Amino acid sequence: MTRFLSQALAGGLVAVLLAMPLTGTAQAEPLTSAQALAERLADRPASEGRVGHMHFRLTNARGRVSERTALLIHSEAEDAVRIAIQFEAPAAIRNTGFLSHDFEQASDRNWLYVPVTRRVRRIPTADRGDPFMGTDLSYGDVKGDFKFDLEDWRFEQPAAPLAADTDLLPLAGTAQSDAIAEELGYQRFEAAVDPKTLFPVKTIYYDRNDKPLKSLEIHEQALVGDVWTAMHFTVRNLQTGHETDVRLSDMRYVPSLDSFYLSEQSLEEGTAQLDDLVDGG
Amino acid sequence: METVPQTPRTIDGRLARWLIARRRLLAALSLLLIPLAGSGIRFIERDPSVDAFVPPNHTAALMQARAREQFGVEDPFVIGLLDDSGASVLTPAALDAIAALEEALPTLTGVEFNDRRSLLTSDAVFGTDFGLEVEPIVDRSVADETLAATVRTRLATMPMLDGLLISRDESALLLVVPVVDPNRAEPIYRQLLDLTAALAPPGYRFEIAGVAAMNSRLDQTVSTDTRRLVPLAFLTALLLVGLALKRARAVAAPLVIIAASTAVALGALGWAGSRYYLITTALPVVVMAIAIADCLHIALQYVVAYRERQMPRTDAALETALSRTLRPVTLTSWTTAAGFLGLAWGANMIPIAEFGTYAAVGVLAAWLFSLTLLPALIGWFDPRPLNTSPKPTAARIDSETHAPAPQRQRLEAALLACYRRPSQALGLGLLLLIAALASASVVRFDYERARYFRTGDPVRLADASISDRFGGLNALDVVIESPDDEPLLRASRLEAIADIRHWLKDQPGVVAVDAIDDYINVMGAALLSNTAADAALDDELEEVAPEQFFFAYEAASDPGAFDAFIEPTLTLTRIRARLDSDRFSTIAPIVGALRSYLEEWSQRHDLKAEVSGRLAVNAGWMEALAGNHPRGLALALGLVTLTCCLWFRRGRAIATTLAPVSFGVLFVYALMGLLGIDIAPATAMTSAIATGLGVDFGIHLVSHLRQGPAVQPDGRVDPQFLTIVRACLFSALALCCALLTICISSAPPLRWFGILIAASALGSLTAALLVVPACARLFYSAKPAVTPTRDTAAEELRQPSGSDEHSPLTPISGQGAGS
Repeated sequence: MTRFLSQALAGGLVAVLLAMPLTGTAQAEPLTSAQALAERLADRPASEGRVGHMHFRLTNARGRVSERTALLIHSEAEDAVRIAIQFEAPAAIRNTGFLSHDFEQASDRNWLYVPVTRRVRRIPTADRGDPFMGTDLSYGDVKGDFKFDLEDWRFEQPAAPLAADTDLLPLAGTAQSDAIAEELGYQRFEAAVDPKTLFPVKTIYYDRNDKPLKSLEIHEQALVGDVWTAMHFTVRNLQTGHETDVRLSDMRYVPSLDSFYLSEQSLEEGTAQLDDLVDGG
Repeated sequence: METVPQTPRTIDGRLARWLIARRRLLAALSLLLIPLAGSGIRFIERDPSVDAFVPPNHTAALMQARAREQFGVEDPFVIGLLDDSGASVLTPAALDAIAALEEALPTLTGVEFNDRRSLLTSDAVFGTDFGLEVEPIVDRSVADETLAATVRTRLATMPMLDGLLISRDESALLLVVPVVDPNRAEPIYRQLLDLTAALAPPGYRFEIAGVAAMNSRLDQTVSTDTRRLVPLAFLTALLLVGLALKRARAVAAPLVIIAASTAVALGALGWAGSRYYLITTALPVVVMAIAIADCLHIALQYVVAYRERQMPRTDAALETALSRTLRPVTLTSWTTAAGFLGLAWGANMIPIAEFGTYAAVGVLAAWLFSLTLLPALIGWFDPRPLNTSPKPTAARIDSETHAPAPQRQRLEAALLACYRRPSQALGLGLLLLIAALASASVVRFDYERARYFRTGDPVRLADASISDRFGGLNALDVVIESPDDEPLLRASRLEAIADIRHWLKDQPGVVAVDAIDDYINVMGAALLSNTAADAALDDELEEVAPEQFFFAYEAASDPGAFDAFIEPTLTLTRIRARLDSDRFSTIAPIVGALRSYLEEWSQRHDLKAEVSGRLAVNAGWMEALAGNHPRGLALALGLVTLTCCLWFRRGRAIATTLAPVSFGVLFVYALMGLLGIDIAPATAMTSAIATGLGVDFGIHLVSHLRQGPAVQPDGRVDPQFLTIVRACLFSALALCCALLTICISSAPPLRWFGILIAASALGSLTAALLVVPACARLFYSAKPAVTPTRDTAAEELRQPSGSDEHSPLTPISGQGAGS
């Protein structure tokens, strides 16, 4: 399956990830088992809409760094999650954009616009294990929205907690089947969950040979609107040493987004028409 | 027999008496010093790399270090999977074998697993209706029957990979495995050999080559042979010493001195934090040679002095022997040390400089122990050398020289022949020099890594097998850097990079060139494949288009997929050319021309470009070697000459002393020319070593000639002179035999070293037997052998080295004050 699909879906998933909606009162019930904890994570509500800046910092195994900045627009209506990511920097890729419409009852649609091609292309969907836009995140990571899909994992209490912080809730999971492990790229995971926000603030994924593959750490969470959002997180490939650091800034809750901003036409027009929206103008 | 009491009123005599009187104390102090200094051996760290010869500040070395840091693909193991049946290697079994080998790599400490490169790690970039797509070239999800066709189809989209990771005739696959330190990868090499032996599928064979493999193999062979052959060389040399001294127990004292001197030299190396390089292997042998010469001269004089006395006493014989040899042994040692220091000062290559330094330390240690420890050891091990007479069947021992009578007769006949016909002897010597010069004239500075292995060595065979199918594995790189923050992925800059690629492709011996612009062109073609080209891009967009192509590729591929080609900020990239040879004489013109081209190119395009890669580094240190070799040799010769001038002050003495040196040095180059041995890191020092070794003969013989004649009035060779010649003969033979033992090594560098130093010893010996007697006749027989008066002795005391007259200070058997 092509990886462009991953990109687009990943874009949508980033939006979901950014939405990360969880009301401040969601942690009230006691969490008695791994399954119950996973269900609480899965039940986190999504935000209606938000916009802001994304900052990607990619570091290779030799410590060399490249950075990218993008505008993010996310909308979650009843029928679909719509996400647009428009790159602002480096200057050479300004106006390059991804658009994803992730429907609940229909096939997903994804588009890509690269200025040099002068047209918006519809692109295929990707496997969940495919890398997302050259980062260490996979499409599945982003789609997961820091949740663990109940149909993918068998949950359990880990033998030893992942984090020393006793306030965090330990959670572990193993792929329900080989096919799922193949698709996700992960055989199992271990996580430490923040009971207040229900975010897995630290997760380690293992590959199909049960070797540590990736770590995902959330460094900063904040309320955007009335939901918790992961504002800063790092994904590190433990086998290649490559690392992706993602930081969100200027995140703003926008409950009723104009659908134009999440359309193919908007993608082609580039970032200039989005500045006012993102900057709150 | 007439006895000649040693007079203590001379400097030599007084010093000898002082040393002998305190020999036990001095021996105890020496025995304390030896373990103290020698204990530094435990700090020695081996560095078998040829790269150690690169001056650390050399541009090519700096660029390679930077390229290694940025791109991480320098000097890898190159593993080939070869099919000899003529069928395509694109089979499930072959690809699975490569995959299995790749899977095993993470278990090998020191392997840069993520930087490995093979057909299995490579992607194909192509265009579809959806735009640019990236798929692995080898897709194991397809049916076995269609695997080869799929690979060929995808490979066709990446023409730059043609012949790079799969041979053009499809008979071989390549897996490139970079390592953290290719100079210390021997354990990885061993494990790879085991792995490939276990994983090779039926009908295929793995071969391991590449710079890392060759370094490892060289490390293996040199280490193994050094451990085996150097001790054997020591034993061989000691056997010769035993033959010279005629007594097995007499070998014990020289053995201790040799071991102690070597221990101090190596210990000093360890204490100073220096490393044990490839050429350091020669250090113990060189120190051994010097120590043997010192010991032989003193020990033979001891036996002779013992025989000279009617009522022999060990103390007196030792004192006489030391008083006779103290000056020449001191002079030879300091002159040799000066020669080695000249080598050290003249070299800007650390291994050669350190070799010179520690060889000088070893030589001075041998001198010190010969004077302070050897007398005591002789007293302990061999106090009465005449008590054990030769067996009745053995040849009669000459009482004056301690040589078997036939040996003395033959030696005397040879010396007298040269002495009586000096013109012919010198003419013959001149002919030899001319012949040596003619042979030496073809010697050149050259280097080829494969020649450092014997013809049938596995790594040489592997290199040949893989090179046959891929055209060559030798990397010549160009590192290009943006002078500002502006990325290199601009249309104008990629055009400039393409110019370098085209220039490289046009050079002789270049089989492939790998550059980022080729990949960007493929990405662009894929992305635009279904785009209407109805409207031209504006200039600004046209200029940045390559970065958008690359972004589109990155977005569809694994992170860091192009780290081996371009740095993530896109301001530094590398072009790699593969050449069919790494021979210096072949690549030097290309590297030189490339440097010139890049200089002009940099100015034209306002970008920085430097030559890098293995071949540039090789060229760099070979150029440095070629530049420094004459300087090092000149410095060694200059210091030796200067020392001789300071001691002898007379042209004829200096000329006679330097004759064996010049023969030794010329014989080295002559043999190099004769056998086709190049001047390279492993052989460059041999001529300077020859200088240090050869001067010993001249100094010992000339020291005697300044004190007494070579031939007595009765027409017989002076016994003292004969004893010295015999000591020179045996020390040269001991060294030759020891070094010829090393020549049985499977490592050509060790063989070259052994044979060249042996040649130098033979050359110096030839001069000692041929030229020095002739010089003795021409320069030292004009004045009759007079008995010096006490007045002349006093004058000599005031000017110990300023006169070329026969000195009365050291009594000579059969002549002198007591005669």
